[in-house]
Amino acid sequence: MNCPPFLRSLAPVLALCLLAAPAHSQEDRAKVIASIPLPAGLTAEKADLTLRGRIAGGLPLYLDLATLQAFPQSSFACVDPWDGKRHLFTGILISDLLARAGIEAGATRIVVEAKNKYSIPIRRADWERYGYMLAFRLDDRPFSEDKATRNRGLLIVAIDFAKYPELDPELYKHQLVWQVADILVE
Amino acid sequence: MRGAEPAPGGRGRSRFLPPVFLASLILLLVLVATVYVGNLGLAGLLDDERQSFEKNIEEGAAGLNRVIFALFDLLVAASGDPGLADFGALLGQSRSLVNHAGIPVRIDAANLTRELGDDPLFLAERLAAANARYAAQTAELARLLGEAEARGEGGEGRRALGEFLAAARSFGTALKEDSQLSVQVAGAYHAANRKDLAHIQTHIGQNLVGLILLAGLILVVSVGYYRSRMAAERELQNHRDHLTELVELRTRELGEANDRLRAALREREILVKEVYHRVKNNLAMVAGLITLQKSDLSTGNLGEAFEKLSQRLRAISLIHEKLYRSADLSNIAFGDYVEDLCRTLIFSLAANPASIDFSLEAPELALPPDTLIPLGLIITELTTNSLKHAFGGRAGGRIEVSLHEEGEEFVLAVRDDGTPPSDEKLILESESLGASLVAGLVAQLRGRLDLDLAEGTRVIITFPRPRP
Repeated sequence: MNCPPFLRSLAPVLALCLLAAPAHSQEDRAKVIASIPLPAGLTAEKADLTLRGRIAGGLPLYLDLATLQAFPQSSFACVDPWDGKRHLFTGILISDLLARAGIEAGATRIVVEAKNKYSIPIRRADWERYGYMLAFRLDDRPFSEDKATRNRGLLIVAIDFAKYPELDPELYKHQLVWQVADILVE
Repeated sequence: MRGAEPAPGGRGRSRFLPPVFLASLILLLVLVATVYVGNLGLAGLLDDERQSFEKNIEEGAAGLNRVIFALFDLLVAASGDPGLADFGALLGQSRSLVNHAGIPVRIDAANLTRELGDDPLFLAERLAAANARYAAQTAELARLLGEAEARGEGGEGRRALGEFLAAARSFGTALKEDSQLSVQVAGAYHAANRKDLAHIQTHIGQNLVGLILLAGLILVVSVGYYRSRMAAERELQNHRDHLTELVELRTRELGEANDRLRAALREREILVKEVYHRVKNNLAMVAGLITLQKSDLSTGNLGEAFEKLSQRLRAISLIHEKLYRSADLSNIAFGDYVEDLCRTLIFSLAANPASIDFSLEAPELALPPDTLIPLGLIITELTTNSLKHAFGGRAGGRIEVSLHEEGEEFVLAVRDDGTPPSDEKLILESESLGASLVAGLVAQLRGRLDLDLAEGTRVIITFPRPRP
């Protein structure tokens, strides 16, 4: 390769900068999440979501929708296995939420429970690798605005089946919990 | 022989075929092995354990339904009878619930992992826990019911039944979770089945490809075989055609050889007849000569007469000598014969043969004996005459013989440079045997005789060209 000597001497520095860049943005994201204020004084009855189990402090964490919406939001579109239609899901990453809650390093799974006591476990490997989402908007609208989606509730678990075809919707649709009320970290 | 080489491609094809067959065999074995291994994998999808697991799911769901309906009936009845007044009826419905719940229709968690592989929903673990809880709850229900039945329709019996109903209600809440679990197990099982189906479809596709390859292979081998067969048949046909050609050629050659032999035989027969004819003619001529010589015996002495006869017979003999030495049995070279004849005459008749200057002038010409014998005798007579009479008193002399063609005639001239006779009549009209012999021979040749006495003696005989 033919380039000026001063650039060649700068190459290690440039390489270090390039390597550091993603780590830096990851760090930024962690900082942003860590800086999100958690509501104080919420009770189990008033909370929109309860986090329990192996989290920092060991005590249940009561959260409201406004707190959840303060997390970095993202969207994806895919076919919903329950109605067979393509929808745009908007929400926050479960991993971000659990990071803020201070999930223990040894925790391997969460059990997500709905208001009607339906519950299902999710592996840590799955929610981290496949970016499991806690969604609060469907097709860019809250669930409560549409009669057909009102029973899904305030929060649902969403998985990007379009991005990860290796996830069989027939099997993983059981983890798409509606009206999520409680997450138990185990 | 021409065309005896094998037809092109015949041997080459047979050398080409074995590798094709070998490759076909290997490919066939690979295909069979692939299909066999694939089928082994498919066979695992249909084994007994899997079938019993599938049956378990269906029967588990049906059993759960029966238990739920029995529980529903009991709880409805109990809610309509808070005081448990109709103790016997409630007891009967309770017994029905316990009996239904006791039928072992649970999905076996042990082989769940084996069937589903990766288990992201923790189904095996949850099913095991649910089964244990279910067993504990049904045992507790059976115990409480047994107590109620033992106490009978009294205060204690009703209290025991009340406890049973409370346990049944919490059993109902647990059944809800069981129901969800059974739905999830069924869903997971169907997902696994769909994966297997995809595997089967892949396998079918592979088999199809194998089948197409096999068909192609069979086609290639068949075409190869057909072509080699055709080449062999073509070669055989070529050989057959060649053989026929060869037989025809030989037959033709044999026929031609036969014809040649037959012609040669005919020629020999003609020649033999000719020889007999000539022998007869020559003997007749010899007889004639002897007869002529006999009439001359009175005038000359006996020795000279025999000498002349001998000369004449030698002329004839020389012709026959030339004939048997010649390649051509029917013609003799004129020059060769006349040269020999004259030299012999000069050698035997001249006092000093070296003093005689003989010259012959004649074209390259072959003549039949019938012409040459008279010519030879004429030349013998004339040369003898010159040797005996022309050079009287001289030491030597010159004799010239010539033959040339003039149109359809031959002109023979015999000349000497000796003293010519005073009168030509002495030669032509002489009573001597020689003169009459020459005259007779010229007549035999249908020729004429002229005499030129200007320089020596020159006898000219003109005769027509003999017919071949």
